[in-house]
Amino acid sequence: MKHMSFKRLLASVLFLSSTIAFTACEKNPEVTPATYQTGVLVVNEGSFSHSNGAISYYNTTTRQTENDIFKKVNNRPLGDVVQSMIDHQDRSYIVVNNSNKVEVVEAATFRSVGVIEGLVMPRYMVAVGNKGFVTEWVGFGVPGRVSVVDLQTNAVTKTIPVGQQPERMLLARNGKLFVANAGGHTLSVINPTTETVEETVAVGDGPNSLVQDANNIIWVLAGGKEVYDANFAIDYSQTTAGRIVRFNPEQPRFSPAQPFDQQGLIFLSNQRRPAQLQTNREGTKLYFLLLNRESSTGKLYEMAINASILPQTNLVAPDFYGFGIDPSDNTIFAAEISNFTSPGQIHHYFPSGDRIETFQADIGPNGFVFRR
Amino acid sequence: MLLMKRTGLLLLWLLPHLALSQADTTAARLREVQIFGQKVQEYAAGSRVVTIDTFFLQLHNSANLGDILQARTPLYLKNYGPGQLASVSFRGTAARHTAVLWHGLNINLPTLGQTDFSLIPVTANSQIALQHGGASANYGTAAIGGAILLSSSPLHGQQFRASVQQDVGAYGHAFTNVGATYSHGKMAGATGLYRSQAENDFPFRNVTRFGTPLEQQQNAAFRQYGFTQDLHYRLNDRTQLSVRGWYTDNDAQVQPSMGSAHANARRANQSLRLMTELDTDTRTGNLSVKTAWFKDRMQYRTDNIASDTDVDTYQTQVEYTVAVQEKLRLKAGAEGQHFRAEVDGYGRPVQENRASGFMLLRYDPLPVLDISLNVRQGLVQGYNPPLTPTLGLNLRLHDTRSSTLTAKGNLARSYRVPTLNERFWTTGNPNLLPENGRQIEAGLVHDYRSTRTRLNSEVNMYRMWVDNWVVWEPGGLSGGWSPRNLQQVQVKGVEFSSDLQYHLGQLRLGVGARYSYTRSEQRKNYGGSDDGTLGRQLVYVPLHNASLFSDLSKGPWQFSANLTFSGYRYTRADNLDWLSPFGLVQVMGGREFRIKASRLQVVGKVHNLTNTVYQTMQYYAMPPRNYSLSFRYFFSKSFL
Repeated sequence: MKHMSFKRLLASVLFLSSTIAFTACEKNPEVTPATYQTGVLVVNEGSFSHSNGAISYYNTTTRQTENDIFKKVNNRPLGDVVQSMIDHQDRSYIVVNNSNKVEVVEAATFRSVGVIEGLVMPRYMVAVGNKGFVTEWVGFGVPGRVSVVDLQTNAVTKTIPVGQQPERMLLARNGKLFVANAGGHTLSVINPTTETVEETVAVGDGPNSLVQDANNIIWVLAGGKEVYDANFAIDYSQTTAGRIVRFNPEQPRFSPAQPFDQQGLIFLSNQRRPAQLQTNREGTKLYFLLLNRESSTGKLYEMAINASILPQTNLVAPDFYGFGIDPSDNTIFAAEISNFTSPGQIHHYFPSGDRIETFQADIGPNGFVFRR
Repeated sequence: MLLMKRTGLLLLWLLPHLALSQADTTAARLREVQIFGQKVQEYAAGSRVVTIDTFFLQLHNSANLGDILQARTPLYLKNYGPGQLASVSFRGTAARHTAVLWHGLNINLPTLGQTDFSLIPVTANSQIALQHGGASANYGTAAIGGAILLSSSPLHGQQFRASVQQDVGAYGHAFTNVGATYSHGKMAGATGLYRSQAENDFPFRNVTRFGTPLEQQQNAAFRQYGFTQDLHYRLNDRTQLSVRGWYTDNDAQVQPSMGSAHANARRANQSLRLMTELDTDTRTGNLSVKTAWFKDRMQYRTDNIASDTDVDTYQTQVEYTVAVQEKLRLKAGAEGQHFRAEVDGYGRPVQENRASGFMLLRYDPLPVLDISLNVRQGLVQGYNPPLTPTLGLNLRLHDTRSSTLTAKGNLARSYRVPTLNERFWTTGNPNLLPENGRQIEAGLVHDYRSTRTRLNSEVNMYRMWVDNWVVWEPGGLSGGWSPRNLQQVQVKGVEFSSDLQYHLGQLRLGVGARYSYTRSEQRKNYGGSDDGTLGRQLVYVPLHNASLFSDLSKGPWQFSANLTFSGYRYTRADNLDWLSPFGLVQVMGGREFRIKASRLQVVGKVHNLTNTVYQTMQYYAMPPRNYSLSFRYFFSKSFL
């Protein structure tokens, strides 16, 4: 209860300050305190078309949550469907999918300092030095693209055509940027210096996420091809099962590493979509969700990089919409959503799967950014 | 004209602006006889029934029903922009808990179970009445928060009237209306044609964008056209046949919320409504038989989505009214509906049959006491909603020639049958139960009249429970979004209204005030875990809502002013975000010029006089102060 009233107080303060700001029509010249230097940030999508996506700040010391810190600091909403967020140098970049923008804030204060616009259905971002790379779907059934952003000016300087529905990216240790084209069956390999696609690699239907392990092997999680009928229902007679594929990026033409064959490890059922591949800090364990294709929520699985079969049992019981591995201690933060109109619950687990704590975030939590 | 014949039974009252009857055609144009409202009240003792002033409706005939309700009733309208989707919250309920009836037949879209009020132009229905609260016994499904009753005026007099109207306004607004009514011998008819459009490229400050720039609204244009046709034929002294048709075609870009990409979203709707009504006086009473066919189509398009809906509704309704004795009147009836729906998202064509039987009783055992006792049993293919009785009382505590004080009260049950979407969507729930409402209400009405003045005031208190409240949630049978009977909602409210009418010579003045307090909260959640929404006010239900208005006419001059106020509205189920209160002012003035048998009227309006920045749905921009002009030409000729 105390927790709730604290939030309501915050909301009141926010409301009052925003009223004053709108009335006075001038910026508050006060220096914003550096409040968010350490802790866990939760990315909350919000309800589609309601512009109530938000970033929550979880203070791991006080175990207090502050919701919608962007609106609190900047007196305006973050936007519609907050897809992802990255920290880079002293800034944070928040990809707001259905607002077609990336909001730029000072990482420690969350003060708005700029925006990247001119994007179409942006999904994820990776930053390399003074360049940002943003995947954009552009539309359905059309090629997606990766926009190159000058992080000094926040202007898009170039767009690179890639496959359909480009999702997550991996900046590999060899400096190459691997883009998962989830609407197709390939990875696009971009050279961040020349800003060109150097190679397109077939990996299996629906690649959506990828990581590099302790041995520099790249693992790709392919969700399978989702086929819809005329009524937007999934046609399971044509939908393909997902798979995990791995390769060594240093070997020519990415010949598959042992013991997997070229097919990778194929999931038994096409009813679920594997997604959100992540590793622990050491790069020795893989984690992913096996999502119900209708609800996009599913169980969390763990797999060692030397395993030769897919994990048979889930790590913890609930169905999650997103998760993250805290690189400081390998604990797991996982987001449970009830619907897209009320806040989701964040469960924090030891690597063993024992629960540490549960706290409430905002509407539709899908991911985490760790500042430790 | 059935109504005309029954004027002896029904209390007539004239619109206050125009007290005394004159043979003057100008006055006749405005002097609409409010028989309709009385008919509603006959079987609604103990309930709050309100008719919208026809003078106001005529001045605002270029608006849509949502605009009118927002201005003159305690209903809260959720507007997704001007001319965009407008849904209603009546007594703290959701949009699907308001029944909308056209000449007694429910016209809520069977797929969604609700009405988009932007698709109901005021010009198509000259009479609008509201019955507040649960009234399923009278109106069937969805009459939980209340019912909105639309109809065209009865035609009377042996004459021909025609009108032509052109409005122009800011942001590309244009409205054209051509109408004629004719009554001669055994035939009477009314024809109306209308066309409305707007670019809606108004400026607004985009508070969701970096730098909060001033922008011009994009992707918010619409155009709407349609026609209405009423024909009445008197077969003999006791029997009349009426045929009514109403078509509306709407093509609208879908205004995005300030923070959202619009993806060139566009929605087109076509609704054709045809009905016949046979009305005959028998030896013992009156028989009314209605048959209707409604066709509702919708096409929704974005860059990435195409979704079509095509629904046919066939309805028939039989009512028999009998005056058992002077103080006891009984109406018994039955109705049946057949739906055929082809909807992307159902995966197959769908049909459903529904029926209901009802009995409405009005008994006035004492001069000071009126009793309504109504009951309805709905029947739906596969399952039945509960029996819904209503008991209502009017008790006149004080009754003199100039002043009446009446106590009112009612107990009612109400229901809402699941919509076709809720049942037949590929992830729908065929086992969904009907929503189930219960209500208790009490009120006082004071009526004062003198030769120049009439003052009518009413205050009501009610408490309502809606159980098995449906919520769409992820995690149905297939894992997709599916509706469940998840909540119980309780509404406690107070409604107050006061209307003063005064006339002196050529001067006619009307002043009205409305206030409503609505505490609507989720009391139970059958899903188990509390996500912080239990006990919270429902979204987009203002605790306080009020309006104040005045209509004035003196000779050829007419003025009207309207102030509406809406209090805080929560935008999230956990009440952690909200919209701030706003007040909205609209004023208008006009003058009429007479040239023999015709009249020319020029009306100017100022919308949002105070230039208020407001939203009725969060982040959907609304226009700043703007102006419009209306030119109307009326012609009439008597056949006598």
